[in-house]
Amino acid sequence: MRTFIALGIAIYSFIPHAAHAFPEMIRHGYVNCTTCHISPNGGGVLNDYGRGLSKELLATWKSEDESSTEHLAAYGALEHTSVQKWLKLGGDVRSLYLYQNNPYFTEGQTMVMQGNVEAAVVLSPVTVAGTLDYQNNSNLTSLSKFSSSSHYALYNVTDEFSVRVGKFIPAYGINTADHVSLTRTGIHEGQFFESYNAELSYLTDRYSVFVTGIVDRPATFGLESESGAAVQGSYSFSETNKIGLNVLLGNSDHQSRVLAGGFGLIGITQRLMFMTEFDVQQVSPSAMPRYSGFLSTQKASYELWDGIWGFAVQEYGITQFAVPLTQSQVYGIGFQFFPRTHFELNVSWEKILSPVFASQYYDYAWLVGHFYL
Amino acid sequence: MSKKWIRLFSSKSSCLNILPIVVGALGSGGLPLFGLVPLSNAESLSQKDAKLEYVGIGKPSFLKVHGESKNGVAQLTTTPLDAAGNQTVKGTVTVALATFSSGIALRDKHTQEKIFESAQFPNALLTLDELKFLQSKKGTIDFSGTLNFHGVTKPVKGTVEITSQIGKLEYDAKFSIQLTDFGIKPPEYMGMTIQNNVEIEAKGKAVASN
Repeated sequence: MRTFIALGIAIYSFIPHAAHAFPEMIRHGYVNCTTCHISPNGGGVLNDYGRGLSKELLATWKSEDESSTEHLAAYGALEHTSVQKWLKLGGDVRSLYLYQNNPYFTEGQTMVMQGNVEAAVVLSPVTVAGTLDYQNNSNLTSLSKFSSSSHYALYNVTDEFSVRVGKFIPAYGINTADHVSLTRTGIHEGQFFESYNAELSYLTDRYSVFVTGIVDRPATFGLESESGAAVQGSYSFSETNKIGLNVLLGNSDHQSRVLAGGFGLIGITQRLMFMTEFDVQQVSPSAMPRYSGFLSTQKASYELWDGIWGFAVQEYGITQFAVPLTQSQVYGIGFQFFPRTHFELNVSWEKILSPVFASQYYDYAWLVGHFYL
Repeated sequence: MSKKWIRLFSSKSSCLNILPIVVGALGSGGLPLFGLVPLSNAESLSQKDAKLEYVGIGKPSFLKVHGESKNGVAQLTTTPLDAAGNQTVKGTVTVALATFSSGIALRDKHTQEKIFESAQFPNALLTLDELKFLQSKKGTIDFSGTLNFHGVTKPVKGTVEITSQIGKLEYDAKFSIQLTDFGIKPPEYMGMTIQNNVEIEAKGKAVASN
């Protein structure tokens, strides 16, 4: 219980992470993350096609010159060099204005919150990728100021099968960009919970399957290190929709857990998108009675204009069914703006009810400026 | 010549658009001149918003590229029911390749210029061989025909679902082609290669054209 409180407060005091993966691209028929990313389950270094889509589909304004290299890594600095074919670069800088208004304090703060550089060496069928991260607010967490959240070797056995070993986020649920949603923090998956894994993936235009052996998720946010396994299967239909199920088994020194859930990515039109994820978690502490909980996140997004998104979020969670105090409810709205390739602005305002923290709804809002190299 | 006819023949693409209609009318309308099915036994059906769709799959990520045409012209001819409840249908569907859209402007530009070469080959023409079907039975049946695309005519085979009523016929035909059969190299763009096999769907509702 205390762990949950500490974790919840720490992460909600922590900072939203801007776009890494952008599952909304499914509305254009891009059902697999590898359309844009090197990583089979998305996020991280973009491939060449992903760079192209960042200009063609994400940005409000773009160069009409087809020979323009502005959307490429470092604005095309590597273009026309011999390394361009096999070296893919990336990187991010994010600044944040965070506003909190709760029964205990009202505060606004601005900071450069995070930066990283990423690189992938693609020597087909083998790819080696890694990132070096800088966290400005590492005092709030157990994270080091400098660390590597991801580094792995990927071997594409065939077009469909690939094997990956290293440190990365296991495939579970929707690999969304934000790390504050209940279906990320509440299940200890996603960014800041990267683990050392061995993964087998199978991807086609209709089906995808990930089987991941989790060797070690290092201790973080007051949680013990954990090992286990995860399996995810998903099915794509009508070109712009995907549904999936997943299960994760985790073991640490003093508890084990079983996590199971489902998700859906529904591209209703080329501008309207709906995402949903729900998870049931059963935790078995070695010195306490077993407990179970439920977490869900829903997000509807609409592209108002090319590169300008409005969205609404609803979340509900209860980490222990027997303890109503562990409920959380979140209602939020926001806008995401991609004015030009390499740039993103994300503004969001949430009303949160989390009785474990406060007995009434409180405000949590942020404005993130994101530059990706 | 009426203004309508002048308009139809006023551009190259319009000429090509109307050509299959004329050919279809001559061939399947059963003019006695050609000794085919008597005109009185045939029903001519047409459609001005017929749609052709293609779905190509790109590797390595298995992305789907889905394009749709607009304002295609279908010209079909059906025969009346025989004693066993069978009907036949044949005809053509013509689409202007310039009307295809896949939802991404740059991709469509590349498709028009580098794949379809629509300035040189403005239309695609699907010709359906005479097909016998049981009017009362719904479901898919096999069909054969030809596709003229990119300056090449090749036989095609696939399945079609037909719903026929007096003065109206709904169709949904599916078949696949190999791009290389039509002189097209599978397109590659930024590390993504579209597979040689492309799925095609022609669907619509033709109504009595008189």
